[in-house]
Amino acid sequence: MSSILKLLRLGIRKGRVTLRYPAERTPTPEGLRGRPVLDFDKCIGCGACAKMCPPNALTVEEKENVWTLRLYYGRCIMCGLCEEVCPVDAYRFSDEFELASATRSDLEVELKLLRVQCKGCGRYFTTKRVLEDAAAEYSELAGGYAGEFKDMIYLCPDCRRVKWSESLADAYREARHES
Amino acid sequence: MSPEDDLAAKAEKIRRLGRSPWVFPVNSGGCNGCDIEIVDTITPYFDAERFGVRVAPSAKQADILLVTGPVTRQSLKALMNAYEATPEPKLVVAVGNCACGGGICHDSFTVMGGVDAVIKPDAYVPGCPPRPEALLYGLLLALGKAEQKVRRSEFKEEGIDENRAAV
Repeated sequence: MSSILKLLRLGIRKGRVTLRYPAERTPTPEGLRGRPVLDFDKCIGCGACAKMCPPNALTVEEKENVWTLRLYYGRCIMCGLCEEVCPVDAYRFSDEFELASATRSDLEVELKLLRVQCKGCGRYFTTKRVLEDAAAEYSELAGGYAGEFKDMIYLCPDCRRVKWSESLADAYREARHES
Repeated sequence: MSPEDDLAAKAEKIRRLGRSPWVFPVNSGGCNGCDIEIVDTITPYFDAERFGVRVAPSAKQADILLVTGPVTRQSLKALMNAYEATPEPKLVVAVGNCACGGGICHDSFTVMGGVDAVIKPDAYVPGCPPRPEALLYGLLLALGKAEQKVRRSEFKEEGIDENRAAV
């Protein structure tokens, strides 16, 4: 009997502790990683996030001229590695955690970007946005070689290697000829 | 019939049953994180009993199955037994990432890769583990008392020719 009174006293002193959850939104702690939101305009399509994603919630499909990124929230563990690895800060972790859904397709995000052809061999090798981003970032760094660099950037890695070796060989031949 | 209509119809059936929806948590080989969140949801702090949700002692007395875990081969039989023992009308809620799509162990040879590989869940509650509020929200969604907040989003860059991509 006395233990029940003890509990009663505790209950009266403490008051109501139950959250009014669905009626009132409970405050979330600062820095909570909820649903990652992908900014479609910022994403350049490098695929770093898909390589990093531990549970493969992010997957990349490359098909001819279309680059597709799929994000399935049903597998995302909100680890934040995609945000960390993204070179253009396209991911933002919102504080939304109410992700329950009746269907699987409502938990999916799909982004399709255009891929470009190599100017040397003609195969599709990367997205248009990656090239635009690279051109903007490195044209200053290239300095005097900006013209050469502009040609190089539209080549696939294989063609670029061949062209680079050829230009090196030419330079070596010239140097030998001069001496 | 869209899945949401289907869900609403099932929830209506449960409402007509005339009693509180009791839940039965089934762990199909998960790490126990989601089960601890389920236990958290029934504490007085979050109090799922406000909506009549109580944990049933057996699947035979339950209306909602809360399935956690990626459905391992060893637990598949136990899960199917629990599913068959649950009387109609019943709802299946996939709790946690593992149940929603295999989660972190989706490509293992020992798992079926989520509940939807064997049973069609009525609601998916993602999260690793889901917050107790998210779990409560998922239960309310399954019972037709809450609106769904996430929608599928798509983006296509200009100049993409789908027919060409299919070649």
